[in-house]
Amino acid sequence: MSALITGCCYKVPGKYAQLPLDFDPNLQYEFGELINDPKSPFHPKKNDSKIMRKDEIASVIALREMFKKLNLCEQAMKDIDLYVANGIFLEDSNKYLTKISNNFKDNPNMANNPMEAIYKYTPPLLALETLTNSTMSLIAQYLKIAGYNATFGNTSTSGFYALEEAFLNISQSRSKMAIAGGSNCGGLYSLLMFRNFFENAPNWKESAACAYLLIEKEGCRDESRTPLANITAMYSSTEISFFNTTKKTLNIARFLDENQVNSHIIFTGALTSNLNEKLVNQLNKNHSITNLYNYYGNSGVSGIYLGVIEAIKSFKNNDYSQLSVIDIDPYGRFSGINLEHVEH
Amino acid sequence: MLNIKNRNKRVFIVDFDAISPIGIGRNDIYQNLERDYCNETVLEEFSNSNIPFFIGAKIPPVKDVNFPNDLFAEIALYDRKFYLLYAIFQLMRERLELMCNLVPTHKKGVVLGVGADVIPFHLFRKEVQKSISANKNPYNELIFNLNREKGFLNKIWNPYDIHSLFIAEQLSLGAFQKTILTACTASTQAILSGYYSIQNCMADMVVVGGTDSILNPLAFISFGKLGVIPEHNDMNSNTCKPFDMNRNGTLAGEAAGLAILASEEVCRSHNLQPKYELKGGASTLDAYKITAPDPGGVSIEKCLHKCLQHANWKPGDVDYIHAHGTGTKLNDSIELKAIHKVFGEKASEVPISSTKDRHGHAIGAAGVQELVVSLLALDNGFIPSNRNLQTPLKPEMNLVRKNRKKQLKRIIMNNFAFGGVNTVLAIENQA
Repeated sequence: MSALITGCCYKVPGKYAQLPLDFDPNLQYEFGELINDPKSPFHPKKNDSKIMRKDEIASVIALREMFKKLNLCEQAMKDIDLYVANGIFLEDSNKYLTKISNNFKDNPNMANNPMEAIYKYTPPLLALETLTNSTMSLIAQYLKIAGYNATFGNTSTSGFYALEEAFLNISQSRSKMAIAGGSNCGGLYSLLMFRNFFENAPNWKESAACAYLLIEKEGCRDESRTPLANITAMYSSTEISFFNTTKKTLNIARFLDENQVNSHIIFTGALTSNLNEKLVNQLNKNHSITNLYNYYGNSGVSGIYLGVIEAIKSFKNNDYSQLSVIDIDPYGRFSGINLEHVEH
Repeated sequence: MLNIKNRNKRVFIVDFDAISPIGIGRNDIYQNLERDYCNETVLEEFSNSNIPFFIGAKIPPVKDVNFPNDLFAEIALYDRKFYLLYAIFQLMRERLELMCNLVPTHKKGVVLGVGADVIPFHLFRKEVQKSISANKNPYNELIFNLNREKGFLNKIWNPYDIHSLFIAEQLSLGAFQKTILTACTASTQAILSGYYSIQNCMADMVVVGGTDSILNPLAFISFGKLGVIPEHNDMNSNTCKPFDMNRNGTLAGEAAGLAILASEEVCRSHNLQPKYELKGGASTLDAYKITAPDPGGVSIEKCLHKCLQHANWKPGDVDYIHAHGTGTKLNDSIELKAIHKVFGEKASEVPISSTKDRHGHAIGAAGVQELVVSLLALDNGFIPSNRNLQTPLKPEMNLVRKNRKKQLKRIIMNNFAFGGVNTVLAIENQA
């Protein structure tokens, strides 16, 4: 089974800053925010971008740029498949909740009737702002993609599943072309969601990011699109212990043994610097490693795609002819992709 | 998609069940469908407030739900989706274990559709007020403090993935643990994803389904303000009128359901006699606007066409369409328009109904709840009516006005989501 990658795009933070955390002053949290250029000709319309998160705006811009570069027209795109993994969905919703709670503070009577406060301060489009498939639907709207689809989320393994579904459907000739990608909002709500998993970790680094791949079946590919890489295998761990901290030992060595992992690995990065270091040390025993944590920290659902894009860069530089991208999610699920350089 | 003729691997539905506002378990659900029961009730938590939305379809407390430990019980207290999922899991536990034990860990997986998470801040008013007084961000403080020292399970604000991970851990489902988040089509897409997982040889058995509830303040009010739920001017019922000229919104609801998909090899080697085959399905995107569905219904038409093609059926082969039928202005007219175009001269013959008028719209769990209704229809030769239909939107189409008894072989089931996501399944009775 195989599928060709013929296009890719991504947006990552330009710089990182320490986020102040009044609830945990001992924690060093470095976050890279996405900065979208409002003057970009590919920026979504003002009315839409008012309800879009930054990672969604970045996704639309990145994909439109890619489509332009590859000369992909709307007509060609209407039947292609779209698989998106979504990270955290709350970016600024906090502001509505703060309005409601401030209202309680200022109007004690209102505190006795919270429903009225929620009704008064809920914006009319909040349901769309927090729609779990909003990224996928907005991509479809702007790129005119109308084929088979799914939104997965919201750990990095969901990113893997989105890509795997695209890969399998193309390998088995159910589809001829697909876009698969991940859009990670990250930020404070991501930290609050996963902080508890790694309580003693003093350092966290995370990126809001998005990354997408255009995947095609060889034989159906337009000759004008040069293959960037060939996906030759995808695999994931079959361990079934997710919640029990005492049973959780991250046996990456076993995962590597059970699957045919190449000698060079691009590791997408763990959630915390301690865990990342621990895993990289294990990987280093028998493999050479490119550690994406050093660049992006953890990038959630977009991580595995950034790993594949890093692989494509390596192929372009003739650094390697084959390599593997390995990911770990917060529950200790490993996933891997084998890629090979395509001569053309 | 290319090559959408029927593939070699057949996929069967070997078990299914749901917890619904119209019944706890499928026997209960069927009996209540037959007697036209509608669980449209005044929601106390909203009715005493000065807001115009207060009617929904709520699942009554489920008896004897026993959580394995206090932490799961706490999660269920604050996450209604998890509570409902646990309740259906408990209801089906023995059956699920029996079936899942037939297949090794690495060849069985789970795909669940779930809805948006809503942190129940209204339950933590005192804590929030303390933080406001201390000039801290109250919600960050709350989440941080509630979740301290809990490990891989938060008290509130868990990743969506915990639902499928929970089921996977209970049933040793090692192949994959997927979560689909496409709102009103989430569990329908979960079923289709499970189907393709078997066809793609990733698994021989997949537990599929979903869980969701929008009967919490933020979701309920958000959908109301979006115009999806009608304003309730009085305490009268029959607020949801799918396909009626006077429709003006849906009935907010909740549900959880699970089904087991198995490959033909598993059924054959273990002598299972499945009654239902999942013949296939399709999913398309409107690619129109996130704020509204495509009024032309072109992508819904395409989805219906693809589904029929995938199942290798002609329009005349379909015995019943279980429609999405939300009772909203836009959905119902577009859906009927698309069905009319695809079914052509057969459009006036094929019976069509939606059951959201009695159990509500369960958003992420709509698909699995309506799959259960569809399978019960197949099993019992029963077509549920459009219960509140008085003035049909399209009188020339066969919009079912009274429950009917009719032998059914083939059903199409539609679900469409905000953001223009369309999914249709084809199910065949093996009897």
